[in-house]
Amino acid sequence: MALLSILLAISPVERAHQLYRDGKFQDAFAIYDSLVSSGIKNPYLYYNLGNTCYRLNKKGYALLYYLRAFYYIPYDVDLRHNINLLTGEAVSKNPLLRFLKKTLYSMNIGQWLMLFLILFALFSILISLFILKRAESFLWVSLIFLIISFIPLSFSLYWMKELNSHQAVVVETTEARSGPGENFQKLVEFSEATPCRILRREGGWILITRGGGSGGWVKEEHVKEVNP
Amino acid sequence: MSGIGNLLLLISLNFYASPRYTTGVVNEPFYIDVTVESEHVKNLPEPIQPSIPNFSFVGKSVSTSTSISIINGKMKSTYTRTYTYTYIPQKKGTFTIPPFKLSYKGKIYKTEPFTVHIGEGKPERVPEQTLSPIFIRTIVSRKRVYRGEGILVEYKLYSRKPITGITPSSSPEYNKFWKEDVYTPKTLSTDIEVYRGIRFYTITIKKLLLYPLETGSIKIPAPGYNVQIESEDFFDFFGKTYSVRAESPVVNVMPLPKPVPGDFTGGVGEFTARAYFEKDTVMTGEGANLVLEMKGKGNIRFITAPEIRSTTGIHIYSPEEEVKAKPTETGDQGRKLFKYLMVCTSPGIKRLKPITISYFSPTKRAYVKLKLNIPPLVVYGGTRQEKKGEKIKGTDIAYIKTGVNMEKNFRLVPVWVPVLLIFFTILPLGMVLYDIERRKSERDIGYARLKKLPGITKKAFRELKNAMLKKDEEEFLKVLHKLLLDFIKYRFNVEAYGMTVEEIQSTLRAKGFEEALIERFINLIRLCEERRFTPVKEGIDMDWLYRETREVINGIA
Repeated sequence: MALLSILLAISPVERAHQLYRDGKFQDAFAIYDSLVSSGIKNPYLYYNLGNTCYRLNKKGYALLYYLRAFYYIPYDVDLRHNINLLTGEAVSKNPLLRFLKKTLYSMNIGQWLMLFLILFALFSILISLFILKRAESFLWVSLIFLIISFIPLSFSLYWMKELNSHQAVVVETTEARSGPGENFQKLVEFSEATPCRILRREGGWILITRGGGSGGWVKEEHVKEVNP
Repeated sequence: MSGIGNLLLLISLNFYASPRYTTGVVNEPFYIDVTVESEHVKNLPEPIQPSIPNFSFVGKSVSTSTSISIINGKMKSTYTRTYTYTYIPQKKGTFTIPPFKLSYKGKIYKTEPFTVHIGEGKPERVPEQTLSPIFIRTIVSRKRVYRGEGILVEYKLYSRKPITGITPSSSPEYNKFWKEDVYTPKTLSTDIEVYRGIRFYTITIKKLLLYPLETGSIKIPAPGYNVQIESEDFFDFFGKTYSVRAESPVVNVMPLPKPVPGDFTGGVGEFTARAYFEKDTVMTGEGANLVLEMKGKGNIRFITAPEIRSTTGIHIYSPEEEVKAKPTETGDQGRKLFKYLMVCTSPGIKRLKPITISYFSPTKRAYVKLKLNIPPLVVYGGTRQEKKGEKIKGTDIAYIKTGVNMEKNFRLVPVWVPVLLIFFTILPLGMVLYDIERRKSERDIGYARLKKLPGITKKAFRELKNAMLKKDEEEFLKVLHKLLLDFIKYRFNVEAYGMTVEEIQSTLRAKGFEEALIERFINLIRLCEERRFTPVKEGIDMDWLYRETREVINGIA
C-alpha cells in the first residue's frame, strides 16, 4: 500500500525515468512524448526522448530530438556524444576551427546574446560618460568593450542563422526524387538519421539538400524540421 | 528380468511381411513370407494369420536361421524365423493384404499391409534369372543438370539373401565432380524392398551430393564392394562373399546460359543475401568487419566473394570466408559469410555503394540479381585510447538526464535581453544629443534663457495658484511682478530688473508686438509696483489678474 502511494505520488517524469531504467523504453517514450506534445520546450526532456527513440531503434527521431536539445544546451557533453554517435561528425584537423567550434558550442544563443549585452552596456555607459565628461580614458575603454562585444555578437548571429536555416532530419530511410511526385526520377537514397536542410515545400513533398549538390524531393512524413 | 531388459528385447524384435512377388495369377500358388527377427530371442513365437478375402490358405513352411556378422570389430548374432504362407487367389484384381500379427511379452506387433495384383494367365513379371541375385543400384536425383547444380547419388545394395557384411573394395575418383558425403550407415541395417516384382534385402551403402565441374555426358563413378550374404551351407560360418560394383549411370551436364552477368559469383541454386557491419561505429584507424551473408540452398560453398573496392578514406581488405552449411538430400543448405575488413582513415559517416550479386536459379532457368544496400558506418575522429587498467568494450549513447526540472519551459532568448539592448543602443545617442544641446546653451545665453523660460513661467504660475489658494495678496503680487520681469528677461535676453517700465515698453515695441498687448503687459507691471510699494491696501481680483497674466504672456511668448 505504501509502495502504491509512493508510486502514485511520483511525477510523470520520474515515472518515465524509472521505466527507462527498467528497460521499458516504449512506456518511457509514451510519457516523454506526451510532455513534449503538451508544448513543453525543455532540452533535457528532448534529450531523454531522444534516448528512448534511440533505444527503440528510431534513430532518425533520436537525432531530431538531440538536435532540438542542442539549440538550448550545446555545451552538454552527453548530448554532443550522442549526436556524434548518430552523425559521426568529423572533427576538424584545423586547431583554429576546432577552437572556434568549441567556443561556439560553449553557450547557446541566449547566453551569447547576454554576454554581448553586458559588453555592449559597458561600452554604452562608458561612451556616455566620455560624452558627458570628455575624459579620453572612457573613450578607449569603451571602444575595447565594443570590439570585444563583436565576438559574442558573431556567435549569436551564427546561432540565429542556424535556428532559421530550416535544419531537418531524415527520420525514415527514403528515396529523393527530381520533383515533388512519385512519377519523377529517383536520385538518391537518404538513410535514416541523415541531417539535411529544407529548401522548399510543395504538395506534401519537401525539397531537401545535404550540400555539395546532394538533395532531392522527399515525402513530407520522412523528414522532420528541427526547429519547426 | 528387469524392465530395462524387456525394453531392450522389444526394441530388437523385427517383424515384417512381404509377398514373394507383387503379382500373381488366379488359381496359382501365391507366397507370402513373414519374417520374425531378433538379436536376442531364439524361441520366437508364431505369427497370427489374418483372414484374407478372395485368397484360400493352402499351407505354410518354416525356416530358421542364425546369422553372425562382425561390424566395426563387434560380433552380432541375428536369429531369423521365416514363415512362408501359401495361398490360392480366387479371382483377379488388386487386393490389400491385411497385417499379420505377433504377440510377444504382452505386446502386439503388426506387419505393414501391402497391395498385390492378381491377373489371369501368365503374370507380367521380370523373370528371376534376368535380375542378378545381388547388385548395387546407383540412384541419381536428376540426369539432366546445369554445371554447379547438385545431384544426390544413392548407392543401394540389393540381395535376394540376407546380407551379413559389406566392405568397400574399390573407391573411384570423382574428378569431374565436387563430392560431399550426405549419408554413410553406421550399422548394418537391412530393409526389405520389392524391386521389379521381386523381394530383396536392401542396404543404403552411401549417399553423396555431387556438383558437376564439367559439362557434357559424365558417368557417375561406380564404387565396388565385397558383400557377405547368408549361406545355406551350414559349415560356411561367415556366409558367401560376392564382389559387386555399382551401376554407373550417365548424367547430362549443361553449361550455364550466356551471357553471364558481370556480377555472377558462381552460385547455382536459390539464395538470399544481406550486408551488415559487425559494429556500426568505429574510431579512425580501427577496423570494422563488413559481412556479406549468402543464405540458401545450392552450391553455396562455390560462391566467390564479390569485389568491393576501396574508396577515399576507406581501405577494404580481401575478405575472409566462412561456410556454415551442411549437405542434405536436397542440396547444400546454410550460409556463407564474406567478412571484409574495412579501415577508415578519416572520420564521418561512410556510405558504400550498393553491391549486386547474381546467381543462377535452375528452377527459373535464369540469372537472378540480388541488390545489397550497405548500411552506413559511423567513424569518429581521433582514437579511443585505452588507459592502463581499461579495456574498451563498445560504444553507446549516454544515459538519460535525471534530477533536472523537465516540466519547466526554456526560452532561448529572455524577453528583457532585446529591451536592454535597445536601451543601451539609445543611451549614447541620447548623450550625444544632450551634449549638443548643452554646448549650444553654453555658447548662446539668450538661447539658454529662452530654454529656461517655459520652466520659469510654469513654476511662477504654480506659485500664483498657491497664493490664490492662501488668499495672500502680497505674495500674489510679489510672484506676479517677478514673473513679468523674468518673462521679459528670459524671453528677450535683457536685464529686465534694472529697466524702467518705459524701457520695457520700448523693448516690446521694438519686437513689433501689438500696442494693445504691450499696454496690457505694462499695466500689469504698474499694478504690481503700485500695490506693492504704496500703503493703500484695496482688495485685488486675483482670479482676473491670473487670467490676464496668462493671456498677455501667451500673446507675447
